[in-house]
Amino acid sequence: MKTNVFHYVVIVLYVVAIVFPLYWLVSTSFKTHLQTFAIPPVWIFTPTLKNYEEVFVLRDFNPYLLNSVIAATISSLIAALVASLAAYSFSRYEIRQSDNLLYFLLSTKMLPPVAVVIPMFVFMSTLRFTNNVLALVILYVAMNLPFAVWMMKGFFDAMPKEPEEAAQIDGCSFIKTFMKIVLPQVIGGIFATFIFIYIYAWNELVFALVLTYTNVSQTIPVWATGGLTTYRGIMWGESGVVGTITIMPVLIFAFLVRKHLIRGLTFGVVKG
Amino acid sequence: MNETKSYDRGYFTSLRRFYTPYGESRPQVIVLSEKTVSRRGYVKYAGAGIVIVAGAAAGAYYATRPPPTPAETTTMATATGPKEWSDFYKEAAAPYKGTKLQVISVSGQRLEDTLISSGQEFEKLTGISVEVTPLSWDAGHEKVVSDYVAKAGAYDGATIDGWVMANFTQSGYLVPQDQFWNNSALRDPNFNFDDLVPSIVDLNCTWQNEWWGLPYIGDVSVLFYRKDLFDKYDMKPPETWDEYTQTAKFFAKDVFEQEHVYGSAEQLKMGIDCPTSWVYRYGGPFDQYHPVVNNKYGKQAFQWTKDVLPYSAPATLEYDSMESGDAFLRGDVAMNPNWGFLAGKAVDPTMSKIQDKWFVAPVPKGLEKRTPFLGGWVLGILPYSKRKEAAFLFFEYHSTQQNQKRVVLDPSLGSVPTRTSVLSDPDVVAKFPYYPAYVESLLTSVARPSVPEFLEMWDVLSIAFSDYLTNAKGLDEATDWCQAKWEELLA
Amino acid sequence: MHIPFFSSKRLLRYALIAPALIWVIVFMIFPLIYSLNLSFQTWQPPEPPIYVGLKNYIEMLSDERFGNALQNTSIFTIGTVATEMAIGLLVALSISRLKPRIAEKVNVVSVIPIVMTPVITGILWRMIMHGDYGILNYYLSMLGLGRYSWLSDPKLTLFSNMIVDIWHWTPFVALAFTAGISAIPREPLEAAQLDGASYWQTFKNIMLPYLRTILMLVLLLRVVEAILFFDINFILTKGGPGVRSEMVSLYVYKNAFWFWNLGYSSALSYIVLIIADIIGMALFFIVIGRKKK
Repeated sequence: MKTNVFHYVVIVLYVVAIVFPLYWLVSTSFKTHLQTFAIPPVWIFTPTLKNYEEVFVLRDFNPYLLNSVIAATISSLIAALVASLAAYSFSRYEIRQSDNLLYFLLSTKMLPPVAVVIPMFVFMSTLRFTNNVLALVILYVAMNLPFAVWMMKGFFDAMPKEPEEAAQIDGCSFIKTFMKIVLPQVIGGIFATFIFIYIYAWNELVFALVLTYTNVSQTIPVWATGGLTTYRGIMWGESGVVGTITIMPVLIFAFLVRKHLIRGLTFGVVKG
Repeated sequence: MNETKSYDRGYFTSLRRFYTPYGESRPQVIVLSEKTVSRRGYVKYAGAGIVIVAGAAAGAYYATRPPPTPAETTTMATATGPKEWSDFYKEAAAPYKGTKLQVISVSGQRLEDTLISSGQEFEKLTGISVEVTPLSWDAGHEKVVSDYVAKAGAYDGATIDGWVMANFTQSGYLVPQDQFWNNSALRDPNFNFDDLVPSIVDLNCTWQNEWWGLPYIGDVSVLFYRKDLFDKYDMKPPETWDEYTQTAKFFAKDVFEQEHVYGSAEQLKMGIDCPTSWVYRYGGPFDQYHPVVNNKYGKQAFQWTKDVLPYSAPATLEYDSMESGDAFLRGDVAMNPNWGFLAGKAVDPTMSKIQDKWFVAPVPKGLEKRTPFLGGWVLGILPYSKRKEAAFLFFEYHSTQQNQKRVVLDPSLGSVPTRTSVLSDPDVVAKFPYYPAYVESLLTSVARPSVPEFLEMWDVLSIAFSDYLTNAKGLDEATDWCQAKWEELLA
Repeated sequence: MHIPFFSSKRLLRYALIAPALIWVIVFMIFPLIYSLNLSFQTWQPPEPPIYVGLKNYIEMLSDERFGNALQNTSIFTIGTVATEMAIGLLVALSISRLKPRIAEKVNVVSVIPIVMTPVITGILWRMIMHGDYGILNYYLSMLGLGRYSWLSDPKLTLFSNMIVDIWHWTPFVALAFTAGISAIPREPLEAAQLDGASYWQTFKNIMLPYLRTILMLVLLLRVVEAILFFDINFILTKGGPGVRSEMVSLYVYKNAFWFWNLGYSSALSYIVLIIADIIGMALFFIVIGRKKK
C-alpha cells in the first residue's frame, strides 16, 4: 500500500498535537510573569530562570520533590522484588487456581482508587499513621503489585525453561538457579517493570491527596493541586516549572522502556 | 562428574547437599553468566539489601516524624530600659523555643503572605519557626476536618473562613481559646480587645460567648470603581442595583469604543464565591438562622445579577473573587464589587495597572437597604495539635496592633486590619483614603447564616444561581428548587 | 511428576507468591470489605457511626446528583472511547505506512501524553483552555471560530474534559493498533493488493479480524479507565459549573472528604466499583478468555 499525502497530514497533525502542549509547558517555565499570559502569545523570548528560582527557593518545593522520590523509589523497589518472586512462581510452577489468582490480581486494577482510599483513610487514622511517606509506600506497593506480577510473568514466560530445568536436574537449589541463571536473563524485564511502576507511583494522586497533610509527606501531584494558585492567580510560570520538573523523570524513564511500553500497558497481550 | 539426581529432590534436601562437607563433588551448574557468587555472598548481599532498605525506610520515617518539643528553657533576658511590646512574646515563647508550627493558610488574595511575614518576624523574635501551607479554600477546610477525623495532629493552626465557624466550633474541629486567654503566661497584657472591630468579633471569633479564634481578616463587600472614568463622564457611583446595571451598560455599550472597558466583573464562578454576589444584592432583612431565597429579595437579587451579565466582562462566569478583582486591576472593567482586601493589591504597581485611578463606594442599595456581606477569617487552633500554646502565641502576636499596622503598611503585603485603631490610624488612612467609609460599611453589614449546614446550603445556592445565570433553569424554578433543598438541609 | 502435597518444593512455590498475594489482599481487599461494612452505616464526624442497614443504598436511588454524575460519566465514557478508537486506528494505519525509522520516532513521541502526570496534564490544559489567556481561544479566534469559555460554560465543560482525556489516551490506542497492525502477516495483504481490492475492502475483510483481539482489549482498558476518571477532572474543572462535569469518582470524593458522609460515600463507591468491575470483567473475558497464555 502506498503512502499518500493524507497519511502524512494525519501524522503531522498527530505529532504536533502531542508535542505542542509539551513545548508550551516547558517554554512557559522560562518566561517572565507578564510573558506567560501575553496575548498574542510570545514565541521568541529570552529565557529566564526566575520561575525556577521562585519555585525552588521561595515556594519551598523541595520537600515535595523529596517525598515523591522516596515514595516512588522505595515502593517500586519493593514491588519489583516481591512481584518477581511471585511471577516466577506463577510462570514456572504449577499452582492451584493460578488462573483464578492471576485474574483476581488483575481485577484490582478495576478498582476506583477512591473506593479504596475511604476505608484506608479510616484505617490509617486509627493507627495514627497518616502524614507519613511510609503509608504511601505501602499503599503504592499494593497498588502496583498486580500489574508488576503480570508484567514479570510475561517476561518469565518468554524465557526458555531448559537452563533452569537442567540446573534443577544437577541439583541446584532454587536460590542458585534463580541468581545465576534466571536473574541475568530477566534483569532487563525487572528493570522495565520497575520503571513502569515507578511511573505509576510518581503520578499517583488520590492516596496522597487524602492521607497526607503537610510537606512532611505530601508528594508533588498533591501540592500541584493547590500550591499553584496564589494571590497572583494561577501562577503560570511556576506551573510550567513544576510541570517540567515533574514530567522530566517520567519522560526519561518512559523513553528507556519504550520497547516494553505497549506490552506493559496491555498486560502482555500485545507484544509491541 | 555428576550423578544424575532425580527431580524429586526437595528444596531442603538439595540445601543439605550443598552443605555436605568434603568428599562430595559440587554439582555442575550451567553457568550462563560469568559471575559466580558463593552462598555466603548471597547472604551478604541480601543482608546488605535489607539493611539498606530498612535504613532508608527508617530514615524516611524519622525524617517525617514531627520534631519533639524541646524541654529546654532559656534564661529570661533581663530587660534594660523601657519594655517593648514585643518583649512579652519573647518571654512567653521562651519555653517553646525551637518548635516548628504548621499552619494552614488560605491561599490567594495575598492572605498567606501576611501570615508568612508575621511568621518570619515571630521566628526572629522567639525562635519558634512557622511553616505556612497555603491551600485552596476547599482543600484547606477539608484538611482541617481531615486532621480531626484522622486525629493526625499534622497541623497546629489554620485560617478558618468565618462562614464555617458555626459548623466547626460545634463539631469540635477547633479548640476553644478561653483557656489560653485565662492563662497569664500566654496572655499579652497589652492586647487590646476593645480595639477589635465588634461586628467581626461577634460574627467570627466568638460563639456563644466563648472565644474560638483570633480575627485574622475582617472584610466586607464594597464596590470598587474607576474614579477616573467616572469623573470623566461626570458620573457618580450607582446607588441602586438598577443604576448599577445602567452604569455597566453605559461603559459596555455606549463608550466602549473609546474606553474599551466592560461594565463590571463579578465573582460568578460556581463554587463558594458566587453566592456573595447574591447576598450583597439582597437588600432586605436577612435571617441568619433561616435564610430564604425565593422571597422577593432573593429573587430580585437573582434577577439583577442576570441583568448586568450582558454588560460584564465576557469571562465573568469563570471568575472567582480573586480573578474578578484581577480583571478590575488590569483595567478591563469599570466596576467590581469585591472584598475590601482588594485595595491592598490595587496600590501595588506590580499587581495593578490602575494604581491611582480607583476608589471605593458602599455597595448599591437593594430593594430596601444596602446589605454588604460581612466575611472574615479567623485563626483557629486544632484539637490534636501538640503545640497549641506556641500556636496561640503566634496568632496573638500576629493580631497585635503593632503587627497589624506593620503588615498593612508593608507595600509587598496587603491586608485588611481588624482593629479600629489601625483602620483610623493616620499613616494607614494616608495609604488607603477610603478606610473611614469602609469602616462604616463594616458596621452596617449583613452576616452569613450562622447554621452548621451553611457550607452545603451555599453549595446548593451556587448551583441554583449558576443554573439560573446560564439559563439552565428559570428564575422561579431555580429559587424554588434551592429553597426546597434548604428546607431539607435545615430540617 | 507427582509431588506429595506438603513437600518442601510445593512450599517454595507458594511461599514465593505469598508475599504478593498477602500484600494485595491486606491493602486492597480488606479495605473493600471494610468499605462494605461502612456502607451500611451512617458516619458523619464528629458524630459516631451508626448502623442503618440499607438506608444508604436506598437513598442513592433518589440522589439526583449521583444520577447526574452517572450520566456525565456515561456520556464521557462513550464519547472519549469512541473518539479515541477512531482517531487511534486512523493514526495507526498512517503510521504503518511510514518507513520503520520514522515510525519508531513517532511511537516515541506517542509515549509522552500517556506517561505525563495526569495532574500536570490537567494544569497544562487548564492554562491552555483559559477563557482570557489560553492559547486555544487565541488560535480559534484567529481562525475565526470564536472564543469559548471551555471551563466555565456548562455546555462545554464536559466536552473540555473529554478533549483532555482524548489527548491523554489516543496515543496509547494508536500505539496498540500499530503493534497489532505490524503483527498482521503480509501474505493476505499482498494477495488482496494483487487482486485489486479497494482500501476499504482490505481493511474490513483482512485487517479487522486480526485486530479484533487488540481492539477488544483496548476497548476494555479504556472503558474501565474512563469510568474511574478522576485526576484530570479534579484539576481541570473540579466538577465544572454547577455539577455539569462532575463524574462518579469525583462525586464520591466530594461526599467523603468535603461533606464527610463517610458511610454514604462508601456505598456510592461500592456501586461504582461494581459497575466498573462488571463491565471490566465482562469485556476481559470476551477478549482474553480463560486460556493460559
